[in-house]
Amino acid sequence: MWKVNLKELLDDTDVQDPTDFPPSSTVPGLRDLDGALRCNICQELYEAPVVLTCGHCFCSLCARNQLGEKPACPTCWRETTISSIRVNPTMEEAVTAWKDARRFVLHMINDTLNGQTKAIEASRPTKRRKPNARPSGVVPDMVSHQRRSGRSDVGSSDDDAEREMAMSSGTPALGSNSSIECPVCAKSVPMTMINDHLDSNCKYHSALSSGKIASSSKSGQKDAWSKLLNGTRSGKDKEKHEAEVDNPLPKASYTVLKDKQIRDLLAAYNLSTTGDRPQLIARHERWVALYNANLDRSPILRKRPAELQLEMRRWEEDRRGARKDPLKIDITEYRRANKAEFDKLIQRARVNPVHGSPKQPNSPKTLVVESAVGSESGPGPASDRWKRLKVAGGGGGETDAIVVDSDPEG
Amino acid sequence: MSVVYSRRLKKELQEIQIEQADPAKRAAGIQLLQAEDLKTWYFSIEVLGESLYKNEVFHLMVRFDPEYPFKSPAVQFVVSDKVKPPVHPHVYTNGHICASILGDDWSPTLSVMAICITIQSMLASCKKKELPEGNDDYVRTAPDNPKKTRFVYHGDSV
Ligand SMILES: [Zn+2]
Ligand SMILES: [Zn+2]
Ligand SMILES: [Zn+2]
Repeated sequence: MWKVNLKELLDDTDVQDPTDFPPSSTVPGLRDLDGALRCNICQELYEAPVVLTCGHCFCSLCARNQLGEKPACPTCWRETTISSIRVNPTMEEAVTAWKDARRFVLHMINDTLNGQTKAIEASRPTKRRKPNARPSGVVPDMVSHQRRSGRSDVGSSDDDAEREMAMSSGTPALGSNSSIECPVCAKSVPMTMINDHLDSNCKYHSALSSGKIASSSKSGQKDAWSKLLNGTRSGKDKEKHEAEVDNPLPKASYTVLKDKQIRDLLAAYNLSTTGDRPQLIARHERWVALYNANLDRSPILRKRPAELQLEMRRWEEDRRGARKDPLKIDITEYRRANKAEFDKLIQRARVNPVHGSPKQPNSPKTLVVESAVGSESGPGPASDRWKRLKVAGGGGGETDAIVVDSDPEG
Repeated sequence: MSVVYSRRLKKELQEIQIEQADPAKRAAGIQLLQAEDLKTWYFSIEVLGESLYKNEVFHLMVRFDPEYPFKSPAVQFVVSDKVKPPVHPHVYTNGHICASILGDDWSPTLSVMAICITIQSMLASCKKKELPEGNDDYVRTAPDNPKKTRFVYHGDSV
């Protein structure tokens, strides 16, 4: 019962954070750098970074979500609005370069510190390494890599380790014969067609559609790789995308719109028109945020409409999932189920308020609380990502965001 | 919850795990008891050192909204035969807590641990163990989920 499914919950190689890097005592600056390029709302590397009037930076979608809740910066509470959001292309460039560099730098550190900290990424799956892994005197080479500013052209690099990293992080191999289910319309579509299929709003779904489509599919595939490797799209593709997406969608005043009109707004972008009025409004609001946040990327990094529609679909699924399992939980049932464990726990807490009881053997999948404390967690340099919060708890620093209502004299 | 924000919750969990493994970093007196999914977590909270709550252990239940972190989680003390909520001017006997960090002052840049620490310090700074004004009325009519209550945060005036 009293288990923490940490391993199961955390068995997700997507979960990257600044603690992937050693503390600054070992490797100066990198952990802080990784933290500085992350949004304080989602903790991811900035996606379409924007600044608010106060100068604080967030992902565009994070900022839009937040300002929809409350028209103020979530860090400093200075009042602001969605319409005063400004793009931050400089930050976007930095993040794009860092995304290219990040895994590479982790490898370099690992190699450089080899022998001392084999476990920098202990919690992650073993990365592929070149059999002739570089010796540790490799730092000058890294510096020259770093000096190439902007988007690094991995493709022309003679370092195939870097390419290998880019590959392993990215899309599945594109087989020519296999079909996959389209994530938007659920039709079975040949793998080579999927990009064109999505771009055509699900109109084309077989190689029979036309020769032109089939051949452009090849270039689409090439683009996918060049995008993956270079972080850019070809010039032609770029123009197309600039032409497609220009103006932000206006905020709709739902109070004056009839259901039918909201459905029309949704239908114009091939979005679902099912559901009751609150659902229609929520869906449209979400679409406007997603669509406009996408415009806050530089044109070459923008997602295609089909990708946005796919994100909408996922969002709907998440919402449905959330409804199936509502917030309401019967607390008496929980209490009954856990009574014995509660008793034990309290007993133990009384005896020894800080440390748990001696280690118990781990089961492969779950960690019992006691053993989770003090073992199994890897070398874990605790991060300072949430430091601000701890400072706040200790009663200093940026406390203005956390005000517990306390006694007048306190 | 969208992929991005459930990932954020996983990071919080990872962070808590790392901290709990390290006595130097651990927020003393706060321990994660249960986190079987990304919907409901339980913590035990006690105030170490001198306070009105010496040797008392409380349990906090934290439930996440699908809109976390834009909406604060629903946080309340567990009430059972064995675990009681603290007697505190901002804690109702049904476990509901009146704290602005759970309402108006919530920010998506905060974390679950920030809430736990805030509530712990709310207890630590308590001068007098007493129930909130109007406790009985509130408990009689309170919704199951404290987030449905519109608390008026007691400032200097109350
Ligand atoms: Zn973000
Ligand atoms: Zn700000
Ligand atoms: Zn389709």
